[in-house]
Amino acid sequence: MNERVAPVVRVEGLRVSRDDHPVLEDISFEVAPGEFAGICGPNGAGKTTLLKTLLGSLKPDAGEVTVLGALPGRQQDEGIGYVPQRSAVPASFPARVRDVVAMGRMRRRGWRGRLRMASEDREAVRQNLARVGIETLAERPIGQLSGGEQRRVVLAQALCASTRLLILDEPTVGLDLPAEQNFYELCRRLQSELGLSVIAVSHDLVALAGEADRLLCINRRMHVHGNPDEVVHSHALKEAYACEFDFLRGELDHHGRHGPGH
Amino acid sequence: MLELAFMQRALVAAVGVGVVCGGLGFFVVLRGLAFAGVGISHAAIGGIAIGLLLDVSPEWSGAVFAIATALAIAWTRRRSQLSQDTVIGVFFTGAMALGLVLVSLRRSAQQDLFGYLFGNVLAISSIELLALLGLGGAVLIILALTFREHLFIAFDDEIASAYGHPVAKLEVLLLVLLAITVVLGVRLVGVLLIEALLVVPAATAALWARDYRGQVTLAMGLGATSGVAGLVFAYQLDLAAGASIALATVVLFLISLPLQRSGSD
Repeated sequence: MNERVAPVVRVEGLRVSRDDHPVLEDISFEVAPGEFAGICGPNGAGKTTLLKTLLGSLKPDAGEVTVLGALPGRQQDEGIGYVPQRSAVPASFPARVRDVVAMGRMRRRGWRGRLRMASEDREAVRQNLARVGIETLAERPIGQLSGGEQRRVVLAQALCASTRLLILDEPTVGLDLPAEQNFYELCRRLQSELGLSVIAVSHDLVALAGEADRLLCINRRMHVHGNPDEVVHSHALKEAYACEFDFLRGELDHHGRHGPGH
Repeated sequence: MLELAFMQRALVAAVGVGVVCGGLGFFVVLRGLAFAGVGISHAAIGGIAIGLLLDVSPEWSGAVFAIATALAIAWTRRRSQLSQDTVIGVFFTGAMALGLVLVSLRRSAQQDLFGYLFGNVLAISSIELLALLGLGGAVLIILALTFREHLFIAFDDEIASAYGHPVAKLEVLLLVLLAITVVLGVRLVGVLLIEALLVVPAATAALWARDYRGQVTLAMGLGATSGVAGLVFAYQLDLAAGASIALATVVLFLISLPLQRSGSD
């Protein structure tokens, strides 16, 4: 590209439909390398649809999407690390933590990687378990871990898949407040240590505003887009959510959790 | 007993089918495909009936029909919003009813069908045994090559898909392997009881082992053990061989139930 640093994600005039209904229209934004972008919006705003388009599992009707310099889902070697919104793993799932984390390496390692783990895979698994602070749980059955620990396992798995771009879809749903804060702090730390770009979706605007470098608020269309302070005080945000955000007025500190919540 | 050639062939078939069913059964239990197993095995009756009427090998026509049914289930499920067990319910009864209607056209075929419903392993020929072992080996090799991807999909299909694994194709592959395995077991236990070998050894293994490595190994061993034990009992007490094997799987499960590993490690 030109002198400017190439964005990790570039979306231009995106339109996506599901079952013949338009879900997203006229969405444009860029995410720079090393940036933490938060995407917020009310339920049904198309946040997950946007992520699925970035991951390549939904095709746009119109517009251009480039992820890590390629079409979504067409990246070579290193792709995207993905932490979806999900409920707990069944307690009986027959795999250990390290087996689950190693799953993130499979595609990068091609056919041999699908068959068995090589020593470099084991090393990557160990390293990423250490990065998320659960190396002591490596041999435990995945189903025995708490919700917060399981989320870290999936994060370590995502780091095995990519150390360039992480996509988090409501990653803290079902976690209690301390676990949620710990999770976002961990993402923040990994972002600065590894130079990761992070795209996180949440309906919890306050949690996102505290962590993100930039907020994008969507409700089928892009409503507002900028640094968190500007966004949370903008009129467009109220439009997107179609309600007032009284609890956000005044100070919004880093963890911004003074309000009465929802 | 072991000096009898037909008994030797039957024992080898029982071990072979038991191992393949145990290995595939791990995913049948993990992915909740027990009803898919029932559906596809009963659908094979349609293909077997066609083979009996047209005087072609009922095993092969049954295999083709079972695979076609598996593909039809996968296709219909993708095209409609219906759940997998609903779609299976449609094709399972449809294919089975078709088989029974076709067989009613010719009296002699009804006798023959009986052997396929309940198995007739003592009549297996050397050629048939070789074909069974070859096909069973192929199923195991394909399963081994895709094992880690199937495990990933079982853990979270959405993440597996995001990382570029062909989730839909692998799910169809699993149903096709299920169809082939069902037909492998037709001679041994028959289409009505093959489900026992697909589900019960893997379910028993899940009672004992927490890790997939242990569960797969144990399920294969239990499948083979049930096959041999069932055959030996059937021979000694002059019982139906297929049903004895199915009963052996369930007895092993019931013995394991109170003895299984406790909640802790």
